[in-house]
Amino acid sequence: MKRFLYYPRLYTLIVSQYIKARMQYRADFFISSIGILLESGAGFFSLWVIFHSISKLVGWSYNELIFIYAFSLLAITPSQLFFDNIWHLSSHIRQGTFIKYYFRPLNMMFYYMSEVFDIKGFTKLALGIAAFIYASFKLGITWTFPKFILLLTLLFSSSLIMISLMIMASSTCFWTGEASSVLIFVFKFGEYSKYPITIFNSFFKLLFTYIIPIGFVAFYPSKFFLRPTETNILAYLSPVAGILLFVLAYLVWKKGVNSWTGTGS
Amino acid sequence: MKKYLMIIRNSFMSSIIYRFHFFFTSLSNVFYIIIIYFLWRAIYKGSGGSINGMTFNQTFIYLALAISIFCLFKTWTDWGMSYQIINGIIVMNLIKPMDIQLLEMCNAIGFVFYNFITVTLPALFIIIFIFQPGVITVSNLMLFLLPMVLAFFISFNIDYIIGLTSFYTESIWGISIAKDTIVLLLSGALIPINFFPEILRKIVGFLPFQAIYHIPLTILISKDMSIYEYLKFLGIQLSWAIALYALNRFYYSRAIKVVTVNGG
Repeated sequence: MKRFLYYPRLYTLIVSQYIKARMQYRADFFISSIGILLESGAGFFSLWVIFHSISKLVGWSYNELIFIYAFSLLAITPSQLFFDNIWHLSSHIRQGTFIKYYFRPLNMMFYYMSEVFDIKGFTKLALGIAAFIYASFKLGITWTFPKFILLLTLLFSSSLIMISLMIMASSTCFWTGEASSVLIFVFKFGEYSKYPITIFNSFFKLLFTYIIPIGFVAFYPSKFFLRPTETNILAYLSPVAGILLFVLAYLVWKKGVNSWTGTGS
Repeated sequence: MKKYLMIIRNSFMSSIIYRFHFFFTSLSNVFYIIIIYFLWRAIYKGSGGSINGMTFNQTFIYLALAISIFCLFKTWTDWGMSYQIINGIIVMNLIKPMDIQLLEMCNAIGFVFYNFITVTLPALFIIIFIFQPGVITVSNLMLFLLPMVLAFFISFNIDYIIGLTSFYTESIWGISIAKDTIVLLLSGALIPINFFPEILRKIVGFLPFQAIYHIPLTILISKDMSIYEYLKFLGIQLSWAIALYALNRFYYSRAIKVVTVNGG
């Protein structure tokens, strides 16, 4: 039990130090927040423009797509807030500074990820929540307590999928020394999760459901709330997919950590 | 002149060392093209062949090429300059008997060659041979070249403005992200400008971004463009190129006075 409480306490300590250090650059924080707001807002803008010309996209209405998009934003946010250090792994590996994480009596992944808490992610979170409330209000979705619990569970597993994919992508740098292009590759898939999987042909539908499971990030879980009668068995697999992927990602990371030979300095 | 050519060569050579990187950058872009293919096919499904005066093939070519051009012009000039400022290595460039804007441009050109091989060439192959849209003619392709050169010059100068801003702010993470988004959106690279609501289309017409993607791509996909229209497009691009270049000269003369270098 003591051990169990030790990690959350440590996490708040490390993160509060990090936030203090970041607050040196207030202007940068402010401008970056605007940058992120524009970046995430661009997707809504695209939808808005497209729906000037059409009324439905493969049977999905404008507000339903806003709902799916908001869901995918909320699902991606945790990977940005808590796991942003993923993006710096390559440079730690190449410069050899990653060695320090081997010397602490802590879980290495925990210690490494706790060192960066990306405050800018809150902008994305706020935008996601606002869009989510807007869409569910427009669609007239009634929120009951069990539904809300379901939402939280699904969001948790969706973000776990995203986090796992990102961890696996960045772990490639233990062997190759450079993971930024793989990371961008996977990160983009997170962005594609905002489209209904039904726009694809059967080959890509299978690919995005089973091989690169981005369908589980936003589309399948959203169906629970948008079209409760149409949900297929796949949607229930979402939490299982999340946990399985995370275990897999952790194993890949572990293998990478054990096989890295350092830089010798 | 020779020294600038060497810069182009160096920047090209140093970017091709990451083979693995090469592969995934290419794959990323291919996937993007596949996604927009299906997305726009779905958008066009309910319509009778043409939306806002563009057929599906035209829209697809427009967007697929737009993102390929975006990747082609992604030379990280702004990030590189900010990195040099933060680390102090900008000094090494300032003491060279070279013009810094030209030097950065040569760096960017080297990158463009690299991007052309890794991203644009595979993308072109896929667009032409797999999707077979068949709206591009050889004569259009010839007319397309000069606007592309001007488009690169405009794109570089926009990056350079952000790069110079790092003389004041050091870190440009946020500004750069915002710039990328604004350029992509308002240039018609994410959605063709023809789809924009009337009022927005007017505003966008007054901004330099459409000169990077919208103008060359319109030239490429339009069937019968009059010589007058072609020259008008070139005129717009040329005036933006000159205006931005002049702005950067002025901005540089101001920014160089405030630059502080820690060590180096």
